[in-house]
Amino acid sequence: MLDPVIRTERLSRYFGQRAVVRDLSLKVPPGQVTALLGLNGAGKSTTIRIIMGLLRPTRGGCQVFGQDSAQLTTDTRMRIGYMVEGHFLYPGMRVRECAEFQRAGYSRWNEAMFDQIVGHFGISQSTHVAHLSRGQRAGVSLALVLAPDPDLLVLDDPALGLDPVSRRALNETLVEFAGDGQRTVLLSSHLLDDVERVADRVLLMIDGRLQVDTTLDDFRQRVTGYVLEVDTVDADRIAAVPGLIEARRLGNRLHLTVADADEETTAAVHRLNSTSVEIIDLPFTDSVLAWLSRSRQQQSFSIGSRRGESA
Amino acid sequence: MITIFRKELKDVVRWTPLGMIVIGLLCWQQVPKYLNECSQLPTSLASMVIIGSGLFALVLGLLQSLFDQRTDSRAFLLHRPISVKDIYRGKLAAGFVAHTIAWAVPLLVMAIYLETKGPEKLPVTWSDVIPAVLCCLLSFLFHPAGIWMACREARWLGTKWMPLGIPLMACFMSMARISVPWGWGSAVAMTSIVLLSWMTLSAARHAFTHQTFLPSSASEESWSWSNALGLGLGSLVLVVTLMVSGVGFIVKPDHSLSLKGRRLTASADGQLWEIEETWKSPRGYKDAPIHRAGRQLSGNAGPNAAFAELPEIWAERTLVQINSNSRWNGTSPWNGYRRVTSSAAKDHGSVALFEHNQRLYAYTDIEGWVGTVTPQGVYARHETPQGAFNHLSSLDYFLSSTVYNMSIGGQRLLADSNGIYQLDFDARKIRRLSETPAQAMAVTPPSDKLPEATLWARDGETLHRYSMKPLTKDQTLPSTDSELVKATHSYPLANVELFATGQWPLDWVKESDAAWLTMASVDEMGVVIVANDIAPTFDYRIADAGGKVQDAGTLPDLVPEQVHGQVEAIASPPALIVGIPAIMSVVAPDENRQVNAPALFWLLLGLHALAGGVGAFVLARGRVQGTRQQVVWLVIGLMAGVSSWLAVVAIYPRWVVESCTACQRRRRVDTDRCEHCSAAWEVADGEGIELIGPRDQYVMTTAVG
Repeated sequence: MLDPVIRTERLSRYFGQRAVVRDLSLKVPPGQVTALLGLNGAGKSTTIRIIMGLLRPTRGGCQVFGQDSAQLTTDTRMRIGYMVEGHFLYPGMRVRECAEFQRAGYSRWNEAMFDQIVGHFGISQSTHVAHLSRGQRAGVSLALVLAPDPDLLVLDDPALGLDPVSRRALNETLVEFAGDGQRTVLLSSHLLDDVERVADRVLLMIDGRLQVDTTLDDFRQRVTGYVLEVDTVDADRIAAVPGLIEARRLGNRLHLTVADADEETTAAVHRLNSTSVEIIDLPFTDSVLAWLSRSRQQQSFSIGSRRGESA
Repeated sequence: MITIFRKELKDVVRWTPLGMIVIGLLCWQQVPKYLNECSQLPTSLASMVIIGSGLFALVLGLLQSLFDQRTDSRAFLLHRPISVKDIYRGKLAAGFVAHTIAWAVPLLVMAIYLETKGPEKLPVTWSDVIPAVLCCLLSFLFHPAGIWMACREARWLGTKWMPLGIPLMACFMSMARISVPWGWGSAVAMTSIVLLSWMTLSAARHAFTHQTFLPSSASEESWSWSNALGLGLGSLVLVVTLMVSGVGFIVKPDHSLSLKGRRLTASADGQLWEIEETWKSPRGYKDAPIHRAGRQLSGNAGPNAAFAELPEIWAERTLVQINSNSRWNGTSPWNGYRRVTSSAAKDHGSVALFEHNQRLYAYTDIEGWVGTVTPQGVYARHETPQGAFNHLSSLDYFLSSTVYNMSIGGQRLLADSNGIYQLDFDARKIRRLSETPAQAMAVTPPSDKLPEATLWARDGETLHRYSMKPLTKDQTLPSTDSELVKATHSYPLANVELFATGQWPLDWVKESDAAWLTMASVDEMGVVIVANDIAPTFDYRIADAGGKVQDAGTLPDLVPEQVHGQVEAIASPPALIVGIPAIMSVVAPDENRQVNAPALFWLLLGLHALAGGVGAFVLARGRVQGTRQQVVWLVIGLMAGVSSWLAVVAIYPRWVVESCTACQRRRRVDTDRCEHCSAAWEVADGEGIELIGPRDQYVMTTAVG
């Protein structure tokens, strides 16, 4: 088994009394695109900041390329491309100046790649950053992190605020970059369609804890959807379904999303007094949304929002 | 680093015009127009520009660090193959260059202006800006202090601002340093400046390279000696200043009632006395009735004698003081042109005399430079002067009576290591009155009770006394009791000649006390000499005209008990009140430096220490690890008083705690094991819906929540 590029061991981070990341243990394998998913405030950005050595964990450990992330050397940093959330660039610089500023210290710098990506987004290098659109800023940011030809690419919500064309350009660039299977990508995103297109693995964080850490195929296989015809809903019985992620009622149909369904699950579903039970193939986005909705409802004020009950 | 430097410089250099304008305006305010503005120019200029340059440095420091506290810009800046220390250095260097440009340009303009004005129009030179340059250089400490402040995790309405106390102290020290000549005090100031500078730079670097990553309290990264020392010192100064000011505000002396004052004097029959004077109305009301009582200190009486009504036949002799320090005349040692005195001149009213290169330069406000004075003569501006003084001192003020301070008008007396001179500027003459060297002089002018005018001069370990007589018969030395002298507070000294009337050894005077000698002529032309009567203990000699010692002794400090000062002292760090006399008793065991205070003072001081110790111990419980460290804070609290409370809060963030699932007690969240029961953190139960790892490929080995 190859050594993971990123490894965290029971990583926890508190801000005041609140644990934003709690007991997070994960491994990001090399040569794959790993998507980090979760609602706002789930701890994704905090985790990335710790991985990038920009924030110290309250307890637990984090290693990148086998090195403590709090002590990353300049050589190790050179191997990591990090695209900051919001595509931050210094507004007072021109695109060319951004490149000159960024390349300092890097032993490798692929000028042609930089020019190509910037050109792909239709940006002139003499343009002031302050005059760039959000999509163009994303293009420059992407060019800046890819030009040093990093072994690990960490992207924090790279498609935030991008128009569809820019998103497609971003995805194409990512696929091209990671296509040779030699580079590793950790991608944090809310855009599940894009993730499904480019990711090999999925990590799902809910309230600072890791709920899903598997390959995309395995994830699809292990999440099952049921559609039941029901007249009445017994919340306690629904909650008793093993592995229930989410239950949603649409008219007289009850949609159940279940993890690792087995015979016991099927039996529990049949005990729900439904007139019919249908097993359906859940799209990736619906499966992820089931987890995310469950998290959101646990945080809501709704009286009926007990565990597993959203009907 | 050079890339960061360039980028940062580009960012901050745009603010330098603002700094230039602020510092330039402050310089413009100090541009001298009149002679009396020239003597203090170096210190006044420095004290003004240090405010502007300090503020500008702080603004630059905050601009360079607050913006980078944003998550996105900070991540963009720090994630690059450049070490965080180099990024910090790049910021610091860029800030320094921008700051230097901002103060150097206005000061350069000021220096050029001064050089064009001096010496013809005003006694100024370009070097008058040197203290300001040094102060501006030092004021850059506010820049790293700004970074320290911004990167420190604290509330803006809390201890966030505390780092500013350290450069503030350094700047105060620098002002003290440039205001005094080289010596013991200056060495202390310089050492303090070096330490405070190290503290600021080191703590700022630690804040930028470690604290800004928000390490946990348990991490070694969260600790820095410079940070702790800086915040501790800042707390001490802040709390003590507030408390002493508060006490001073609450316990105000009542100026509306009668006031008492005590002073040392000599009786006509040659004894040392202490006089207590009581004003029955506010001080300064000249017609207020004064009640006098006295007690004899010399002879067998001693300092414990009671005050009693003075006998009717009791007569007082004027005590005069020789102060060698007055050579500096209150001006900075940095002055190119140091105002030493002024002299009467019929053509000009009076001329101001400035020392420069061991010569005296005479100026008037209207004509500017009008002449140069050396021991060889008085030269017009266009003439080339010959000769020079050697360690010049002058005589501006003397104590003509026990009530009035009086300045000398008329013909100026001067002294150097080659003798004593008198300057007659009208006649363009300088006469050497004595060839005996003199480091300091004093004059007892004639009065109704003692018509003899006396000049005192100290030459090393010998005190010389001269009788002063008018040089010509048409000139007189009026009595200080004359209406003219009393009304003008100025003594019109005529041209005089000196006649030696006695000399007394000063080998009994300690070197440290030699600068302050107080003496009076007494009956039969004997003398009473007191060495440094403001010291905790001081010596005196009473000798006759032949030099034979009649009486000698040592007396304690006669300053009456200052209740007001003692109340303020209670608010000071207890270790300081107890420690300084203890240290001094070791350093100078022959001097009595005991604090004479009532039992209530010691009780209150003890309570202050106790409150400091207990409070610091309690506060440290939730912030420092281990009983040993808590005990250390108990001791610090006992020594520093309540200021240690703020120090604990500023230095250590409060621990975040949760209930331990094993022992149910509150445990720190930043340690792997419970500090009470050593239990590790339990793995939280899953919800049964976790999908961790493909079943057949990549198996996770660690537990997850």
